[in-house]
Amino acid sequence: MGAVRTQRRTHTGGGDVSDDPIDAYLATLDRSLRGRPNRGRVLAETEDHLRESAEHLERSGMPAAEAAREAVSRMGAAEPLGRAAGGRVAAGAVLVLGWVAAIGLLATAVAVHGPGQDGPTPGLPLLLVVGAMAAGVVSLLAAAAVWTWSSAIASSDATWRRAMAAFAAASAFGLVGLGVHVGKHQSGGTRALREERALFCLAVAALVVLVSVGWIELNARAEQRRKLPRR
Amino acid sequence: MRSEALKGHLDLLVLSVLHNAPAHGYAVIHRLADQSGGAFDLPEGTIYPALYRLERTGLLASDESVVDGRRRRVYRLTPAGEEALGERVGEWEQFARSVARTLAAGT
Repeated sequence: MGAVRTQRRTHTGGGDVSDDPIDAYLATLDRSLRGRPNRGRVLAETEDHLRESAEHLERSGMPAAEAAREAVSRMGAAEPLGRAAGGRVAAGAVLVLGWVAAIGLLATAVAVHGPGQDGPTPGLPLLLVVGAMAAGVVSLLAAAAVWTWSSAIASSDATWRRAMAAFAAASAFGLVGLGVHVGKHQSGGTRALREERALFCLAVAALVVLVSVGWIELNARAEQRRKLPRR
Repeated sequence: MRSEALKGHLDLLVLSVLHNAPAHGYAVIHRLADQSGGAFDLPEGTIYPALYRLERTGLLASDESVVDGRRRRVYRLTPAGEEALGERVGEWEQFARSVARTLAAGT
């Protein structure tokens, strides 16, 4: 890994100063592995492979520089290797990330407004319901952006459709919760009742999302297993 | 043989060369070339996506160790991998027989 670390430094500094074809290959591979979960492992394994290959070629009588070039040539292009070997973040992980961000937003909102306030300041249940809807929208947009622009995310048409369905359901429950809360607020009713109904809707929405994310992930894994024998 | 021709069969071949003989990536690619009489002389990087894919699906497992001062990640078949290999070999043999029969009938 020494060579990899050295090469990373040269690239962050702006120029490729290494004449070693193996270092240059690893630097290209490193760039193609950005954001990939297997980055360290692929770099380490590829470097070991290239050094071992070059040593074998040298032992067979090839000059060192030529052996390094030949080892790189036999490895194939670095970018496709990085894309294929770097691994992909599971779709479920992207969705969970969206929800983690949303929980942070909720916590901030709760800290600002405080729980259980009524009147002109919205109460905790309303904040939670609105937050749940916002979380759904934020997660959906984040997932759409990443799926569209990054090949690092595992996805399939079926997975995407399920994610859309999950968030549509969550948003629908959130809207119901909001409607119940606002309606009861306008037509009277006790604060405890409003909170109870809104919390119920929020709980259902959260449950739908959790089950959906788990289902998406399980389906993605099952899909991979089903595909494998037919490769 | 062109690497495109092997795309659909690489997983089966990798499982086969690792059967009863764990190996690291460099050794796997050379076993493929040796055992095929040089016919499967792939770009060496091709092997890693296949190894990772098979490991992710539970058909291979790997351990990292240091041998002769060099780190190696050695891959081996899991029980699920052994089972999958047996199934796929059977499927392949059936497929090959069907192709042979079809070709023989057409010539």
